[in-house]
Amino acid sequence: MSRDSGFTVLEMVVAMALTVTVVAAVFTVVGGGPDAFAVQTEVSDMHQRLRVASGTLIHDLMSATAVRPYRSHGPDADPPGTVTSDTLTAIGNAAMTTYWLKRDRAGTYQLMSYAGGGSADVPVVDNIVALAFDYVGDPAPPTIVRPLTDPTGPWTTYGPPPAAGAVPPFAAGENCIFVDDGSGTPAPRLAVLAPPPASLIDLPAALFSDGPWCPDDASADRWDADLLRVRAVVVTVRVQAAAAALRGPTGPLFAHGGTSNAPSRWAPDVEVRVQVAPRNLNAGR
Amino acid sequence: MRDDDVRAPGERGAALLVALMAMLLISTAAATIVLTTSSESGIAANFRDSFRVVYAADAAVEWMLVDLMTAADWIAVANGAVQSAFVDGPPSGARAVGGGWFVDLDASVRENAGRHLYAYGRLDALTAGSAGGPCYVLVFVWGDPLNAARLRLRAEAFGPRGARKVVDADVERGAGTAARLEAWREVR
Repeated sequence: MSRDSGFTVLEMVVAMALTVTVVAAVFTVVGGGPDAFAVQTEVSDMHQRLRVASGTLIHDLMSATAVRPYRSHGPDADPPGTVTSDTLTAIGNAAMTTYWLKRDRAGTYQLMSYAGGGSADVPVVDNIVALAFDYVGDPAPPTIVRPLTDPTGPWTTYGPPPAAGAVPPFAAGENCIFVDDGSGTPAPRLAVLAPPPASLIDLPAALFSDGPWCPDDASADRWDADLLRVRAVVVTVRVQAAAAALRGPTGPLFAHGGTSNAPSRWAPDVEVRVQVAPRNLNAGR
Repeated sequence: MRDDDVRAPGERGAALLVALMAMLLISTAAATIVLTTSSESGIAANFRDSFRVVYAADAAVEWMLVDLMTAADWIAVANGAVQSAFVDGPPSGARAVGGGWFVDLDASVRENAGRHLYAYGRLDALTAGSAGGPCYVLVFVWGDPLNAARLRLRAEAFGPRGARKVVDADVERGAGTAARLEAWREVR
């Protein structure tokens, strides 16, 4: 072949096809790289925030001796009977901490905590877009299992035993969960929520706002006696990508839509659901 | 340069340069993703292990409730005169946790001066090889000076990668020989 003979049409077509294929492959690989890089970094951060949020809540709940579905203490305490699905106060032996979801018009979504006393409200984790607490508990009311005159307990299946003598406003043998029905053994004030052999059931929120109240009806920090039924708390936490550029339209994947229209640049919300059985709410059983 | 090479002299090696830069870009992004993913895996593993040892310590407390039902004399238990059947040798030296990690029993005993090492061993020895993962548990006991029917327990659990959790519990003897949990708290 001489120098001026050139290429045939077939050679050109094959060469162009090969070139287009290689260039397309290169652009596919290189073009997806920055998207994958941005999404992967954000997903790692979301997982870390989820670990911190769930770990903090689980830690405090496991040691809790009582729980309240509202902010139960401090100057901004909710009034008795309040039930808020995204607020929980974990009361421990040495401390009590309230957790709740902060949502404001500026688009701030944070898991907040308040440790009581004169402490300030503190953000725990940013970009928590959903927080929910559900309660699982005993459908059976508390009952007396041992004469109150016995020196050693336990005297009840759960909850505080009534005093043998009168403690105002209650008569002898009564308290906020037991009433003297004349049978000789105090009867429970709480209802049977499910017939035996039901073990644990989901407790509806309405149960925590209708009384009876402990320590009594007139107490300023009274709480619904049905909270004594609680054996486990189901915690739902959902986090979103911090950058709006990594969130798509509002829908199942995103609680709050962002600005991205390219699925390759989406970091969907991540949600976990954990059931925690506070050990002290199951003590004695 | 060959006679039939029609490229200008300045263009020699330009394709190589472009290819190298593209490879560098891709390699950097890939390396970063690999690094991020491996860090994420490590963090997730630590998170898992930290909860695993909490539940291992809690399992040791639960198991103690059963074990103490067979102990006739809780005062002897509180004084260290009686030891559980769940021991894996003399209470000293190092024990393998798994994954190349060890527990120093001597150091744990020194840290718990005034408490008596009642039970210690790998958790899977209690659970007949279930999927509890590699954990080593120690249970210390001491008495309540105000209540002879009450024992205080400290369950320590060790896992791979230095995971360690401590749970304190108060156990009380009820009617008969039954032991029941009265209080539970995570110490560290």
